[in-house]
Amino acid sequence: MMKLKKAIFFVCLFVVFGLFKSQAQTFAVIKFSQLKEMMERRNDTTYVFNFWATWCGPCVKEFPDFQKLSRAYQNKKIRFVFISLDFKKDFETVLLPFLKKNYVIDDVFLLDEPDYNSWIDKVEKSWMGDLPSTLIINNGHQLKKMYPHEFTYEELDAVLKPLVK
Amino acid sequence: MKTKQFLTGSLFVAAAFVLNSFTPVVEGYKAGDKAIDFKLKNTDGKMVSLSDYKSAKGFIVTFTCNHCPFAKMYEERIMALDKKYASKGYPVMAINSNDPAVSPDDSYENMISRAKDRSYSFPYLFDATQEIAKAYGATNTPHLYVLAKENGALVVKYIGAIDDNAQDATKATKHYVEDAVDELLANKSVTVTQTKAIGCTIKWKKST
Repeated sequence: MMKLKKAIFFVCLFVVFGLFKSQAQTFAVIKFSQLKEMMERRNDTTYVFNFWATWCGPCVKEFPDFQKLSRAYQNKKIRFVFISLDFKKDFETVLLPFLKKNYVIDDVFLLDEPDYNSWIDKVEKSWMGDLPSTLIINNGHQLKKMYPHEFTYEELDAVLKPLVK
Repeated sequence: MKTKQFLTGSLFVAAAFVLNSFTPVVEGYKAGDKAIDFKLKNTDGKMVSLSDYKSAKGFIVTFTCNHCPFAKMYEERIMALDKKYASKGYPVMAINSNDPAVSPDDSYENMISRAKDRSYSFPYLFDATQEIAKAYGATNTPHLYVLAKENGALVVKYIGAIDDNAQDATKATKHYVEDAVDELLANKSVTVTQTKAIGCTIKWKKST
């Protein structure tokens, strides 16, 4: 009986650790050249770049849904990357506390490029810099599409589903 | 003969109909376009139109608002633009087009207190129907339009951001609006006529 309890305990422990297995996510400040490299990665993974900021109301509103979707697609070839347009001075004091509070499991990069007109066209010519915006890229499949608007869970799920079939 | 005429006539009607149904949604102004005047309520309760400014050479029309962090970062610079250029014939006209139902900070009442607190030297107008923002094609706050009077018309000379560094005015290296107005004052053509105005999106009314 005791043994069984112990066994159950260990099974539970494994399940818990399995669920919360710490991913090697990165929170860092980057320049555009680094974002460009990420956008040009050529493999069979689809990258979901969400452009957002903690000061942007609609971005913060959709953020939890993106986190849920990231977890839902964890075992698929889809990676979420959050590109924050928060200000560099707010990295430690605003952005990091926000990410910790929300148990973020994905990479989050603060793009430190205050001159937006110098890089925004290089992300996507038609993009006006609206926040939030979501860019979905799969260079292996010549896929690059910018969605310059908010997403609900269901809307983004509907975009991602066909990509993992 | 009659049939021919009838056919041509109906073709014309059909063509007109097709053209009509494909009329694109108004995309707002580009440099060189003629801008419309407006009649909007200022924070002092009075209605303001560009045509009220008989001696102005042009205008620095600024779509902005109370709540947006970008608008706040640029507020001082907008105030400075009016101080610098109103006397030279290019006053600032600030317009808030946000729907207060979506963004309560941007209500008319809050505009009044903002204008008072900061002693705005320029009108701060409420575009309650959002028609002016739509006509101009403004999407963000702040979003600037430099207009110049030419033969009685208001011609768009520059659209976009104020400068190239929202976070730190002292680090800005390109002062788009000042450069445009300076060039106009020197009777030169404007070099940079369009940039992307980064900021908060204008809070549109939720369609019912």
